[in-house]
Amino acid sequence: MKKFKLLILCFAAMLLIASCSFKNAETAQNSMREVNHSAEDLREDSEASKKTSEELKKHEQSESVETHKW
Amino acid sequence: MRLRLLCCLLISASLLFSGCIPTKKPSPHDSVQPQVQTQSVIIAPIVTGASVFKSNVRAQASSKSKIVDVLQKGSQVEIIGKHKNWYQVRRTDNKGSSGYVFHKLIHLDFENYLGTKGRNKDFVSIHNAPSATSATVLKIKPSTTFDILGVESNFYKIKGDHFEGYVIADLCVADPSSPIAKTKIVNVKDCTPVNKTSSLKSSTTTAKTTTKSSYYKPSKKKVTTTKKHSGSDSALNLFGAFASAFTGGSIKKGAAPAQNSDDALKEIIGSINTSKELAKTTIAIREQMLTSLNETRALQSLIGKTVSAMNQNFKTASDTARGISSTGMKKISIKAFINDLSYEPTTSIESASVKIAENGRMLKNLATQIKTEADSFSKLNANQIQNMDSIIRDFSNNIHASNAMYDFSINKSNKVILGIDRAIMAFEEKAGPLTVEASKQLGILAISASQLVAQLSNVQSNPFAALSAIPRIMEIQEQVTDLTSLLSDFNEDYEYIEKNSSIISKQGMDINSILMTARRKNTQVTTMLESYYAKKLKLSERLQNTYAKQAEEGFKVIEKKAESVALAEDALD
Repeated sequence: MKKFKLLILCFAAMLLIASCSFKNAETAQNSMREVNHSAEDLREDSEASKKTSEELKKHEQSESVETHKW
Repeated sequence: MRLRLLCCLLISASLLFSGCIPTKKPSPHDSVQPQVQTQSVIIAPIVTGASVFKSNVRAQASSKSKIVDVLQKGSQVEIIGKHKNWYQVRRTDNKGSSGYVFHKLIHLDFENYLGTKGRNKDFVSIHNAPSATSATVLKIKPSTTFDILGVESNFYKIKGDHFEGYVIADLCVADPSSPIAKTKIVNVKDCTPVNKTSSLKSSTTTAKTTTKSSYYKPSKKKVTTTKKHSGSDSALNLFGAFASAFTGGSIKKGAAPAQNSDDALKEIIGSINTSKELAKTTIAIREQMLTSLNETRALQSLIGKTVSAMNQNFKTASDTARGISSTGMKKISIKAFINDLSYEPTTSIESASVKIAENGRMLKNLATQIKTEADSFSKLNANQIQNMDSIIRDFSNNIHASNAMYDFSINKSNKVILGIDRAIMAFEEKAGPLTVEASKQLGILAISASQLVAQLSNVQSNPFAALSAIPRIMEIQEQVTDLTSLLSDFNEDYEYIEKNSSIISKQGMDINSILMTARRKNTQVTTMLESYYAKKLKLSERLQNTYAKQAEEGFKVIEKKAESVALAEDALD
């Protein structure tokens, strides 16, 4: 009889679990999606930084010595 | 989904209660109806491995024994037993003879199952990570047993009663005779109809269950022979309707019993097979989650290494940018030189000539100094452009790394997301049939229980019938155990997904934090460069203005002085 009770309890637990949503699983998936976004952002940031430094270099080059011949 | 589950619960509960009420006293004179024999070979765990070198397969577990086969390096074998330090192996392609190979010559293939039992040979420290330099959390005594969950960089990932972590693989012994998962199911079904004689309706059920252990400990061969005579009408009708409702079958109103005892027995047999199929889902779920976890770990490791390399570039770029920012420009005072020029009127042409010559020298010096400053500025400018080149090169390298990182993070993250999705899907797919299965088995158990109650309540009038119920009680007990383990397995599936998801989630956050650090450094270097350029522009503008002002003032002074000198010289003439 004890086993029967245990079985029914297990069954109830199973139903309870099945009706529960996977919170951690959802968080994990979101977390991985954020990783994708962050990686994309980093890629864009790196490209923007390179562009900025290239523009600065262009300015440096245009800032020729000629302008400083007094 | 929820509604369906709740319905199942309600139906199974009602079935259970109604099935427990005995409706008819059984008669001891039951006639034998059909007999169905089912033979099921269950759960044969497979452990595989590959030979590390060219290895001899011997007839016995001894180096003096006869060589029966030779395995080439990398040959795949199935471990079918173990004797002391020897594995009993059989080629996976079934060629050659089976025999014994020394355990060190076989590398166990951990991908083929989720774990195995193992023990440590000596005192070992449990590490946080698969690295000897990582922090240790515990030291365990020799011969402590644990589950081996996987292998990483010559470390076993282990889990014991009160510990979990990584240990050096060489200090442990994996026991292939106790694999935890990866199962193979072989079913042998044999139906033999037997003497069908009477239509008397009473029920006596006997069952015989034998368990044979094969040479390989976890391989269990379970042979169940069940003889079932006729069933209790009301219970069977109820069960028939119930089962039919779930299996989609139709029951004809007013027809003779929807399901006879043969059908009921088939249901039971079907249930057992369904249980096994459902149990197999667990492996699929866990494999998906483990794959996801491994992908996350790989991603973390790759991102960690890439960002570490990027940080080195950031450091160089940052130092260079800082160096550029601190480089100033020297100020030259033209005014001071102009003031030094003397244009005071002279009393003689000779002294005027001397003064003019002096002024000429001083102006020449001034011109030389200005030229030198212009040259040094020119060099400084060239250096700065070179430094900018170095910064751009660092950024280019980082872009390259960042692009690669983006590609593999997309790849790995998607695999992780897909793995979790698949695990959840498998779990949800399991939930439906499991609910039906559990309800059906509960129904069967309820019917059996009702029969038993009837038999036992009749113990005084018919003690033999009561005695015959004993094997049935044992069978019910076994069935209850099986069902409980199936349900508890399902519960563990849920926990397994959630637990691994929690680890993945944490690792995802760590990866994000690493990426955020890289982004922050990126911004720091760029900001530093921009601020450098702004500063330089300001300085350059100020110098140009100053020089222009000084030069203008200087011209005025020179003109004025030259004018006065000319007047004086005219007067002198």
